[in-house]
Amino acid sequence: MTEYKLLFTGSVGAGKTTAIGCISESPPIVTDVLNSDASIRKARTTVGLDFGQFTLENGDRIRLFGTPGQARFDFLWKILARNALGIVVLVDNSAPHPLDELSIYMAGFAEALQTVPFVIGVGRTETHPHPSLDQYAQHLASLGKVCPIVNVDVRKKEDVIQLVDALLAQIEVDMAGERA
Amino acid sequence: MLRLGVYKFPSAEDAVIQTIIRLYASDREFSWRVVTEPPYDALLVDGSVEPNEIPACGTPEAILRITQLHSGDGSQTMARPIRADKLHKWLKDIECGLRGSESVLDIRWGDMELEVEASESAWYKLRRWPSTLLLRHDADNVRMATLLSRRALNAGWLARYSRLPLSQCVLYLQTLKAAGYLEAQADPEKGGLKKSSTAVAQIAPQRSTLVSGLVGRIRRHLGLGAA
Repeated sequence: MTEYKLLFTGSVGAGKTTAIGCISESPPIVTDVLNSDASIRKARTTVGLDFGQFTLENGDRIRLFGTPGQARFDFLWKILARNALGIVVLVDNSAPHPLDELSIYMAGFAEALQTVPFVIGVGRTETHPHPSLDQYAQHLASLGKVCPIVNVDVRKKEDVIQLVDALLAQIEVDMAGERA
Repeated sequence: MLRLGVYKFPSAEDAVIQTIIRLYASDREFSWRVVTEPPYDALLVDGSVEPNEIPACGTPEAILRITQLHSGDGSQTMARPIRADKLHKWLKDIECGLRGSESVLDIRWGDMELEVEASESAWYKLRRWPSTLLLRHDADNVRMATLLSRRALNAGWLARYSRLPLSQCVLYLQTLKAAGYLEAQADPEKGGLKKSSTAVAQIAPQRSTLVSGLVGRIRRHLGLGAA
């Protein structure tokens, strides 16, 4: 039995815990506490990491890790990114400066993102359409990055699966390079 | 068909707009229909709506605010009363902009005159993630773009990894190329291939078989179908 890891990261309130809960085979283990930060409008927030998993037909396990969103926990990010199959970066478009927040995660995972497949899921675009996905693409291009950027509602399982599928496509095509 | 949204109008005006669109729909060259849900290719918005309340639309230029009587027209505003000819012209302009960004140059399927070479030697990689206009919320387009974001591919490899028809891959490569999203790379060794992550590289010894098996099992578990 082999274990693999998928990482979910992003700002506070972006939906990491919810996304993991969508595809985990059991209720995810959540390390959250009452939120004491008045600037963040959540009752509870993750202070360790969230954990879920699902088991494949041959017994292999895919472990789902959600990083704490606050930047003060960035020391955990590099540790968690090690040996990850892929990284999902979730962004809350209702945040005051979502592009700036995305930059924080792109910088925090810079080393991993040189090799590990990643996808960006932008949430709450129906109620907060700006910045647009095109602006995200432009912002990423200014950082020298190209990756899938999709709208996502992390409460919907099919949207979370779409994010994982984007990672799987990148993993597959990586193997083409191994053969080239 | 292109999707026109109509947002926050009084019911009478909503009916006027829908009637105008229905009248033009008899013209075979008219490509618009009114939809009630996103995604929108263009959006009519009542002038009283705050900018941050406006739903997402393809580009800011495809949003037309209908303003008060005799307030004058602007590049993205139109004063009441809503005139069919002005609305028709605006929709045509938006459509031209959309078609122009998706232009596929001179494809004649009969003799296969394709600008993008389907040969083994033409490799392309995305230089940035495509606009929503080019992705058009199409899962196939997103999949092809995802693959091209990761490494340089020719049409044949793109068809193989996307599991889409070669003709569809050639067409989309041409669309992306015409819109300036692709960079050509002659040598796949220099195709910007990112080294495989440690997780993938550690799957030895028959890496590709093991990885494709893993990907297939994950897809089946998530209900995405066989790899």
